[in-house]
Amino acid sequence: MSISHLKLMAGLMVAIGVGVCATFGAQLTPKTLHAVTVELAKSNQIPIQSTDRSVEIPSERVSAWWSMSAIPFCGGLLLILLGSGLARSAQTSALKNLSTESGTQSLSLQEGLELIINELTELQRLLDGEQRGPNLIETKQRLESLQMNTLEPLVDQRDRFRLQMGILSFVDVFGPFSQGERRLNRAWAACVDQHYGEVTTCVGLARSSFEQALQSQTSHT
Amino acid sequence: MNNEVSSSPPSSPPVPERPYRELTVISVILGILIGSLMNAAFVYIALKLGFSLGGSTVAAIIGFGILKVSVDRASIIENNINQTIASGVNNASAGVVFTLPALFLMGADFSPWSAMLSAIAGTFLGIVIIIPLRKQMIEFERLRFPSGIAVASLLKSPGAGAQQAKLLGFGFALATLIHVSSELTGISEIDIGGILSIPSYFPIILGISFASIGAGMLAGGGGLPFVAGGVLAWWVISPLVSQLGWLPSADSLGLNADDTRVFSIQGQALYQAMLRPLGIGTLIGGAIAGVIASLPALKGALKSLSNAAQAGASGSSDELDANSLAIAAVSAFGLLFSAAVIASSQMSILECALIAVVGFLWLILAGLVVAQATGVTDISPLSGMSLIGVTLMYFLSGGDTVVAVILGVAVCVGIGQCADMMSDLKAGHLIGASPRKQQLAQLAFSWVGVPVAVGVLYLLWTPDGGGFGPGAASGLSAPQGDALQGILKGLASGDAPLDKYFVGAIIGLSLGVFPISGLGVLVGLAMYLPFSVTLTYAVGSMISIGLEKSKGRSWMGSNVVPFAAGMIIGEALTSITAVLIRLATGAT
Repeated sequence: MSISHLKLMAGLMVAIGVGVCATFGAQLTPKTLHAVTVELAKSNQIPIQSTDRSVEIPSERVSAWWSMSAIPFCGGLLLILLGSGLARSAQTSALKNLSTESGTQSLSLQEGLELIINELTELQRLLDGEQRGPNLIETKQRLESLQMNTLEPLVDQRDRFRLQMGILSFVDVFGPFSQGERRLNRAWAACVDQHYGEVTTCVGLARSSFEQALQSQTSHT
Repeated sequence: MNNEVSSSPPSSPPVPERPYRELTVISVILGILIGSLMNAAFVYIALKLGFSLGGSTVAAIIGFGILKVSVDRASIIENNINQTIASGVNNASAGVVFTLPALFLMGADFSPWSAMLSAIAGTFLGIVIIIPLRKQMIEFERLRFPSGIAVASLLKSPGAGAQQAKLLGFGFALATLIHVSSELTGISEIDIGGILSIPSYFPIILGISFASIGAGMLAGGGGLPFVAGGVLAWWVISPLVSQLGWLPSADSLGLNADDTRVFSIQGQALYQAMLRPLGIGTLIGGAIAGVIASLPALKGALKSLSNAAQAGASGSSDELDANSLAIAAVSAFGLLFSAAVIASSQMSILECALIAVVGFLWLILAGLVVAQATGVTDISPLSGMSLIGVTLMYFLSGGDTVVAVILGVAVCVGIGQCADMMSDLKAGHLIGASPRKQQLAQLAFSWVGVPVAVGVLYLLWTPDGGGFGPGAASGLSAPQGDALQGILKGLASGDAPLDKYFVGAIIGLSLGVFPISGLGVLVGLAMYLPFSVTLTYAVGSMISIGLEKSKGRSWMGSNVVPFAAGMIIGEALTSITAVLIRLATGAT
């Protein structure tokens, strides 16, 4: 069975499981149904004979519901758990296949980070070398291009990185990565506000963050 | 976008030597002023009409204008601080006005100081408990927070280029036009199912809300689990429950089977007594599962806070440090405990401490739920979470209504702060603001909103003959307070849908095993909300998915994001304007 079939089957199992659980979970005890009927009839100004709105105390309500709906509810729950397990397994298989096919998934993160660092090094060199002021528009354009062409594709692959690296390594890499991204956003804002000093500082700080991310990524692979 | 920018002159004005403006005196003063004004206005609106309004976008627009006029070199992130403070100050209005009037309506005798202390405690606790989750929600999970994106788009608009500004304006104009039409005609939704004579247990109702469509567009494929949950709840479970005969029958109502009122009552029973409480339970279970699944990442966040504490006085850290957060949390807990002691006439000190601890724990869980739900859908299940909080307090206090509501104020205010802080941090991330300064600003000044909200409430709730304090609030129906009063009366007669909460929690917990983060919360939210909201959001989500497939990711970023942000901002501002006009003219 292909991975996409497995995923579909898992999704269906979970959807059916939730449907069964929620349907039987929604069932009211006869006494509660009567109380709800009386209450709604009253609020909708429909005269009915019974005025008894008493219900079971909460703990009795749980046990009364359990005696009515336990078996189908537990069946639904089992479906959710089995489907979720199958979905996890399908996801892991998909990741393994992807890694085998390309063989360069961890490298692509590394390449991406190296690309960012190189671009920021170049940008910083330009900022340091230029007279103050004239290159903020170009800097802003380069930051936008870096964001769109390199940062966002890496961010989009984060789920795959998380599965490949494990959650702890992922946190170690993506923590400084996100910090660097935020600093670039700040550099962009400073470009718009025409604050040269802040742009220079933020580009330098962002580069440090991405270097730290790369260092973590390298140490974990 | 780049073309427009490069058409500008190649040189820039003289380089400013001053530090880059961020947390400035004027941004703080302006934030407090705008926040207080919105707070007072929204208290009145909520007392009159029963709903409150989000203030982030309004604050950003007003701040934008004033800062540009009054400060020579106001910066984008300075306006972000102003907006962060303003929305934080405004936030107390909803928390106070949805809870406290219940006590007024019941004629309860209580000290306003206990309410004030409780709300201030809630403000601090809400901010403190959500800060450690910034990394997890914004940096690792990358939750969308559509309102946060809308505010960031607005703040970035001066530098985003003419094309994006046009799209923002177009989205704004479209949403405004549609909302004005909706206000004038009184049509807020289109019942397609009704037109096609489809039974009401299979609802096909579209809300007329371009803000919801915009939120769906910003969420894109990430919103699909929420949409799937709604479809499951309303197009599968609802017809099944109806066909199984589990709803009030025509016989039991003494009506003919073809009487339309039967369908209406069945719909109300399905939503109010079944799906809504089940949804609340699922939200809670989903949040607990989310906490368990996020524990490893939370370790990373705590490490970051610990590093912040080590960075200490240098102020170089990204985050407010763990020590400051701990001090704020302990102080806030002390306030909450004091509120319980003042409010209670019968409980022992130990019982007051216990109820304060449970309130604190509930606030953590509910804050997580609301932040996660807002992060994906921009819709906050605040009232449901607050309701459970009040119910918990009610049982723990042995049926003491005053204690339940007073501590409920803290829960309601705190939950609102969680969602607001996270949305502001998202906007901050997108424009490069310092999270530490945003956190500091919100923590230091949001409490100002509490005396404003409580003060306005007491001012408006005048006794006969005028004066200051509880009495007959002429012309103010306080619908939310009235609803809470009804629920408290129900609790007094032992009516609490504990079975539904319990069952929902199990479903939410089990969904935590599925490899989609926050699935339980999203499915729970879909059950909790009327389907018209979910379906409208789904339209936006589907449009976004279709456009992304045909146009690509980068096109989405530069076109759909400003357009959708414009729609959210447009509807928010038009709603506020419409409400103010209605109140001023006395129109209904």
